[in-house]
Amino acid sequence: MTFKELYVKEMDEMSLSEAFEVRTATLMKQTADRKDEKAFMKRKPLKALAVAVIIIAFLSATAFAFSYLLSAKEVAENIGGEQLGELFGDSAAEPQTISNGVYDVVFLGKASGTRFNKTVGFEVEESRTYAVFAIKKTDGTPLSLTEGMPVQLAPVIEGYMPFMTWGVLEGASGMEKDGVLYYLFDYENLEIFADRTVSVVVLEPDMFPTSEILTLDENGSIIYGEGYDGIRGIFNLPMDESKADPEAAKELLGNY
Amino acid sequence: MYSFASDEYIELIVKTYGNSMLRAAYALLGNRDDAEDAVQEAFIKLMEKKPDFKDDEHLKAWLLRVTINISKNMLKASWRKNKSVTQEISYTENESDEMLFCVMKLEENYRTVIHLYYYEGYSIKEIAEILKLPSATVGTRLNRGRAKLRKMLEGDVSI
Repeated sequence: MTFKELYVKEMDEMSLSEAFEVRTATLMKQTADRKDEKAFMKRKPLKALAVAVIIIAFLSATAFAFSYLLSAKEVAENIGGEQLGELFGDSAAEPQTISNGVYDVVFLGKASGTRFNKTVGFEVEESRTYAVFAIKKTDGTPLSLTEGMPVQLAPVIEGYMPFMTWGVLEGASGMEKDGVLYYLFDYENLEIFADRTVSVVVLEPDMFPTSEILTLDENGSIIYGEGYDGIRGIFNLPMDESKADPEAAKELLGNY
Repeated sequence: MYSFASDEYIELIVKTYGNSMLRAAYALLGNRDDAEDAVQEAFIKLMEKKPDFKDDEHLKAWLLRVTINISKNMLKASWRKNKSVTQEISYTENESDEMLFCVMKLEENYRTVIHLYYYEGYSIKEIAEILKLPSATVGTRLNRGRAKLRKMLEGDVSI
């Protein structure tokens, strides 16, 4: 038998019990009823003054929530633990923001170091680069992590076609606080490319960076294709040029 | 056609998608109790958000994505508490489940992609849509995951 056949067979042996299904259905029903109740309450007329007070209170709360963003260190600590947070140090870098009027994308910080071990059953020690971004709605509407990333953040390296460098992204872990989404990106060690400009570009979600979407100009800089009309923005990551290793870089990109 | 919050609709979606969600969560968490918690939370989110779905496939993809995101958050929470995931994980319900055991030994990023590809039968493009990742990243993870599985299985089973 093949791996697929065996894996499917083993997985199929696990299923929800009837008692669990009933419990879950009851909880779902209660949630739906509560939601309907709230919606009904909202439809009740309120006096104009009360409405104004509520609106002012809501706007103030929203402004307050969005005026404060977590730092890269706080996000890294939350997602990966203290050890990962320490990589970002205490330096409070000035966040850089790119907005298309719908979403604000904020670069909060970058760090490189040994990979945090997230592996089950193996000890893995690999050199990694991490970058932290916040994504929020420009109008203050809260975002939810369960809906996925509303924009795509892709690593690009000067002189390499973007589709070649796509695979250096190993993973993205997210968290949500006060309606703002925070993502910690885990890349292959990008420091080896430090003799070039290393950036993260903003793209519409679910897009593969074909040469029509992202390409190089005559100097090797990354530019958007003329036909691309989605969200745009390029964050240049701060790199330590002394860590550049062109041989290792060549070898790494040979894998993609 | 049932209304969204009717008993019939709720029962139908729990029966239709519950097991797929449980297995996706289990592939990440390696623990049945936690996987059940993730499934329950995902179903409750469905009731809270009442999203509009184009069709049943869209609903299934949404439920899987939410279940996977919740499971990832649960894993993160266990790291935050400095718990060893290895200790938490029971690996498999059944010790003879060799393929499950091997998948559980992969890193988190590879486990989800391998599960969605081999168990759910999704294409790389579909997995990319579910996980909100570029297709190339999914392809890389699938290849690396397969290579690791091949190494673990030492040629006993073809992948």
